[in-house]
Amino acid sequence: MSDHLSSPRALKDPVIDLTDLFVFPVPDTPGWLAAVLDVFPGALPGAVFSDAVAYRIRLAPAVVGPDRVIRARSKDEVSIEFTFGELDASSGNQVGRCWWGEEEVVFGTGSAGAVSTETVSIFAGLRRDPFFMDVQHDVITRTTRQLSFQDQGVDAVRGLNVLAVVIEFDATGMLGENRPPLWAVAAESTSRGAPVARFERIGRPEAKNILLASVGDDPVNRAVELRDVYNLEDPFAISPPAAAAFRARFDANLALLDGLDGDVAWPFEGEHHPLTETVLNDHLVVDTTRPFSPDGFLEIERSTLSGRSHGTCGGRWLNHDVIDALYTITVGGWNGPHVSDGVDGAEIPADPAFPYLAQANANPPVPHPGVAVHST
Amino acid sequence: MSASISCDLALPTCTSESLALTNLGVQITRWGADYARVSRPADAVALIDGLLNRHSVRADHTDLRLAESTARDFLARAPDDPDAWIASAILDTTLHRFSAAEDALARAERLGARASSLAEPRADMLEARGDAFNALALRLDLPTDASPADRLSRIACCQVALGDPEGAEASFASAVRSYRGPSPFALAAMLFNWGHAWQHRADYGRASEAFGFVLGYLPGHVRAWRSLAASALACGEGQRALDAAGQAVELNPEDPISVGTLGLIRRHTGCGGHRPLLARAHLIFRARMAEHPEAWAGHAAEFWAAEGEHPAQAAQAAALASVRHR
Repeated sequence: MSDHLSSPRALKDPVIDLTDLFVFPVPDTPGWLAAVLDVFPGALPGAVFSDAVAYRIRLAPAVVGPDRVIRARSKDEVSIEFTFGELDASSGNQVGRCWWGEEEVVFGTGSAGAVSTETVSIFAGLRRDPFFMDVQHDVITRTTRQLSFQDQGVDAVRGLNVLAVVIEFDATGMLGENRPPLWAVAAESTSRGAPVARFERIGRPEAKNILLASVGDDPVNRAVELRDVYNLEDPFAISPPAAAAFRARFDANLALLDGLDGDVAWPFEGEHHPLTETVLNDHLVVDTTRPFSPDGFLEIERSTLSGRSHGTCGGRWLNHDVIDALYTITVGGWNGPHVSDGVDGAEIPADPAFPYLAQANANPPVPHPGVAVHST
Repeated sequence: MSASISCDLALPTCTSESLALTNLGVQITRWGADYARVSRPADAVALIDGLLNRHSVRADHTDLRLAESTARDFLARAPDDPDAWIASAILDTTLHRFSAAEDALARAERLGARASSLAEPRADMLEARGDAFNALALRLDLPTDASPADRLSRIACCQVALGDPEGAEASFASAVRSYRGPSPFALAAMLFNWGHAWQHRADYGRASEAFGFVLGYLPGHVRAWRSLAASALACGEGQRALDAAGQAVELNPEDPISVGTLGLIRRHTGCGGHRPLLARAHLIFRARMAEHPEAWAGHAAEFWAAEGEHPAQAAQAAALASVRHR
């Protein structure tokens, strides 16, 4: 389920549990980018951000390697950090702070606390979870190794909320005038203070829950839960030993997905699945010079790996059906037949205007039986 | 917050008490509502765990009652689910019903519970009934579902009980170093149990230090305040004991141990005002004993013995407390 409930550590404390990351050019506002970072799956009204956690969106120039894989050039990264304070007794809201470079903006949670300046707009608070997916049939599909989705899937996230951080910013102001067009974007939740401990990280949806969680046919670590190890690694600088373990698991699960239709669309190149290196470099890729496009997810990676110029802004828009995209590509290849999980959109889709996410559901339903439950 | 402990470790920054309790309250509401609607086992387990977590901080008897009734309901609805028996065993251990806990764990095992999910509840039960040796052996020998930090800190407490302070310090240092997460609850539980272990060994300096760290994270931790009061009194620090016990009572005036401790300290230090406190503690202890005799017998016996007004009840409670470990 995207990145919801995506590690044993995250299951212990929802304030560190990053659920989704989105980045896209602001529709109808050339030169501006938006990023949305969601946390706290299934949040009820009253849920709050931690004052001990830094929620960070990291952007780094993206470079295309000789293997056509897009990687982050971390030495030139720009980091946008959000922190939160205590609850204000009278309003029930928190004061938030957003930093990047030497800049700082103070805002409050909830609609009343949102701020807009000449260079940024920021919202933080409870909203509808924009993600959608038939979790139950995804699990059945991977367990039975047969495509088991229904025409009408059951959205496991329907009606649920998250705590969201939304920022719009002037790309030139934030990333510089002479910036390269392509940027890698990842996010993380870390401790505040020193030394910094990384709790969770997120790039593309389902990197952990579909591609890393299942032991599957991993020939290296058959009994190891790799997701918390994955979270410890810097998204832009993975250590070689950890990368080797992740590659083995990705290879195994990508091959499993490829075999779901009985055909091989992705013959291994040498020892690895052709998508493994791209998946390992787990970040969204956005072209900061292109206009908004609702279906850019993976388009830049696809074009680059295919040796073509990309045609969209890339990134990830809130309403994009990323589960269909993931299954379609991994099962049948870039040009394979469409695979759908039977859930094509959120109950209330995101709006094209800031802060994008629908108002929170005051009475969220019981989560789907197949969805894990946080403990304490 | 950040602080150093006797083993010179930097303690991690955690979510503030008010925010952590707010989120825990929100989650408890959710699990309760979800369990009421669909009776999903995972919600029952999370609800019981959450309530016990909150009870460990606020010592609010209603949390314990709700956890107990949820465990009972869970068991009635899912008698073949090993998780229901494990949840029941955890509750029984909390309430010092050790035989029942043992039976429940055996039942869970027969129903196919994983060894790793049984190990920690079983070790907890053994430790609570005073068998630190076998608790330690279990924790060292078997894989458990507990986090490395949690497991190491529990090993450290067993080592304290078994008279191995150097080993305990080393284990606890490793536990703190391996703690990853902003939640103050698990860390405070580690520190509280650490203090409690030293208190049992009459090392009140170390105990007080640990309780102080708990309160740095969770200033509303009633049990830490009252334990700090007891440690301070044992060290002859009357005013500190008085202040700590006063804090505990202010936070939870329905906690008989806190009320009784404050009354006894006030009497001991001669500052007056103890009679109504002792009378009130007596009444609450009596009510608690009627509801959960095994859980309260030890504390009640200690209180009545020290208070001196109810020798028969003191003897009765002491007798019950002495058999509870069987």
